Amino acid sequence: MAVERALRTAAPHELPDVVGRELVRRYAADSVDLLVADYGLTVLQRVTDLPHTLPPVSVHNTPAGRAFGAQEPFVEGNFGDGSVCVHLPVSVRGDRLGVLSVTLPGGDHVRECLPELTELAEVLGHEVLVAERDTDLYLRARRKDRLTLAAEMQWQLLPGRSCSRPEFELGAQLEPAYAIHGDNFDWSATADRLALYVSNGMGEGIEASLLTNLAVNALRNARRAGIPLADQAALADQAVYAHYRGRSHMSVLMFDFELSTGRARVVDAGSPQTLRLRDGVVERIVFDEQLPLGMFEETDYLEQDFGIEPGDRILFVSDGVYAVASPKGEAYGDAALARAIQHTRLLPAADVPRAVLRELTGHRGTPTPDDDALVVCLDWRGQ
Amino acid sequence: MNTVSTSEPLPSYESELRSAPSNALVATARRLLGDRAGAREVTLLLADYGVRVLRPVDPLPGADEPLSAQDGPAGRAFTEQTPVVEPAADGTAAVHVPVSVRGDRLGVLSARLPSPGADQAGVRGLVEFATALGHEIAAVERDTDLYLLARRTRRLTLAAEMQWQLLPGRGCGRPEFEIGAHLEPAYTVGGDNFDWSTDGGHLTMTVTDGMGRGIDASLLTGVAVGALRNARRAGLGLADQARLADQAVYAQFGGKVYASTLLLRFDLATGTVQAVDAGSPRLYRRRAHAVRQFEMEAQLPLGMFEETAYEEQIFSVRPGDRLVAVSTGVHGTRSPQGTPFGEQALREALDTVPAHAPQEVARSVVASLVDHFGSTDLTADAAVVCLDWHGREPATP
Repeated sequence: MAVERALRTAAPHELPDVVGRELVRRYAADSVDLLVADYGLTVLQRVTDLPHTLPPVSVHNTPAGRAFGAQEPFVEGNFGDGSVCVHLPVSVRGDRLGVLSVTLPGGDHVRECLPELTELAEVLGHEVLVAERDTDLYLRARRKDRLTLAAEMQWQLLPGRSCSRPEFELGAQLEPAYAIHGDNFDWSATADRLALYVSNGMGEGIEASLLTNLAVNALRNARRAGIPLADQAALADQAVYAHYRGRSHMSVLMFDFELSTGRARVVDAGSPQTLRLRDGVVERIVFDEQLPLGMFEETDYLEQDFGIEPGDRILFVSDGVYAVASPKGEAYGDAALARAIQHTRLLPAADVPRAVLRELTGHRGTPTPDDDALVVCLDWRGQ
Repeated sequence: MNTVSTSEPLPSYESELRSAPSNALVATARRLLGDRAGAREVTLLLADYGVRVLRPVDPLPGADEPLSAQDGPAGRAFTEQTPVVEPAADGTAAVHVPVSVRGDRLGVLSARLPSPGADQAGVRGLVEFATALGHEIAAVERDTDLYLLARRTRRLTLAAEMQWQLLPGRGCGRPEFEIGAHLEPAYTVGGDNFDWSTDGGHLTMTVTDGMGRGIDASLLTGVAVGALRNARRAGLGLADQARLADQAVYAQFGGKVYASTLLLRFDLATGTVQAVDAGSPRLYRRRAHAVRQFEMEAQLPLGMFEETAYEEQIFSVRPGDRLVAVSTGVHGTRSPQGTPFGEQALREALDTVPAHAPQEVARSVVASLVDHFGSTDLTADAAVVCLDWHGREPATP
């Protein structure tokens, strides 16, 4: 498509305009809006010239929200008469960025051009991701509120919010999205393996964020040097201890999956909990708990084996989820979490973390969490 | 080569690259170029962190040696950002084309094209394909270490790991300007950083030099740059960005350490520049063959004292101007004889590469610095950012 070339050569902030012009030229579109999901995944906000003055659109019960949630085009209005508005998911390899809403003259031909429109929205998603290196525009449009400095630092450390491949699908969400401290997730896939880390840095604010920054980068640094999982943990432990002398530490649950077999090596260095949904049954998986990274000098870590099967869904939750008490004192992790996993079993992996966190809000009885809450969902399809 | 055709019945090559798994872009490129252009020996080479060598991703058997990023056909394609064609006796040609994303040079795509395909149109098609591949690599880097691993000739220190993940690319090009940046020692850098962001009206660019060494310097710079970005993304002006970052650094480190930052905000339409000089990075301008240092109004580094207020000063750039910002590690580095690298050496370095692109300038300034110092193991981080200002045609909307 010529539009792809135009997008590659356009200035980073001009991408919505380039797609808009293409849609006007090809389909006589009346209006074209790019909406991006906010950090908390509650609203979609228009990417417009700053300041952003247009009201945001809820991700629930709105036409654009339905396209975002279902990850398929949603057509508002009838093809037969007047004009229709087509809402198209804007995503990159399973990471949902937002929605492209296009108003165009109605007619049966619109149905036929849906695949082309869908592809155009996908093209735009890939290019937005690339352009984010050079412009704040899309990042700013994602903000419903200002981020705290700790959250600013934390978000820039994270990979996307979801990721899908033939062998697996991953989704993750962090709360409070605009004020997170030390919770983190990280993944990296190669041709044969998936590395997945879920971590919980001690403390609050910038301190927690700096600790996580140090520890996560130490894990990545070791992983990128081709070092096995237990040694990655040992090196990160040493890096954290060298800097904080045991005053601060980070809990992490580390997995190294083999994509062809589902066999995994695991190091459990602290608190994140694992729950598995298999054949309709939710079960807590317990690993050999070892010391958090940086608690003592020169801790040795041991790997253990674990296996995942096609059809399995695994949830990883931080203690900010697991240990939250209801007004009656019941910890969320006991039964309510299992119920939430059952309630959300029909949702795709990318949607599950947000849905579980919403149930957590109901459980807690107050809208604002006291601690970071992190949920990561892994659906295993296997090879 | 039919990969540039817009009306082909096959899915576009872009669509195939978009749907390929993050780890399989090279395999997909091989298949597409093989099927559609008869290409063989397709290799993706990425520039290493020090921009000294080009290293293959997913190398073909027997072709896993790194190549020079300056010399040889692939090195020339990279340095000059132009296709290099090596015709062979059998009529085929080895073609090397740059892989870049909006002025950030990632590497080179090399392929052997068959004799009827290795013409101008075939090479143009390969150039287009390489750009599409570059964009897709930029889109998948968050999901896989694969491309980043190919860029490493050795292990990064933890401080450097943290610093590189904070950096944008190494360059950025637009009609109004072109930026090239270089950091050394690339594999052990600590507190030096550069950053930029553009929108329709402005370019904001910073060069930061976090005090100290290793992880401490890297964490400090992390806070300073995070705070500058946080303020910038909240829509605050340049002086307020500096003020908030100053407060964040002071709140965290209590004045024990601080970050020196040069903040610049360019009006893309007029060339008017707002500037805050909070510490030591220096700014030079080359205009009509004359190099001079900007006399900036030196203000306190970020986080040195509590509640410092910053003021913006204004200057302007003209089309054809070249600005070069250098961190302390550049202008303060001494030769074995004790001479600082200083202005004279910097002028010479800027004068020897007048025609080159900004990324080459940044790299060659650092290369001169290494010569001056007498070793690649610089004792302080050196960051060089070169900006060529083209400006806007007044009539352009």
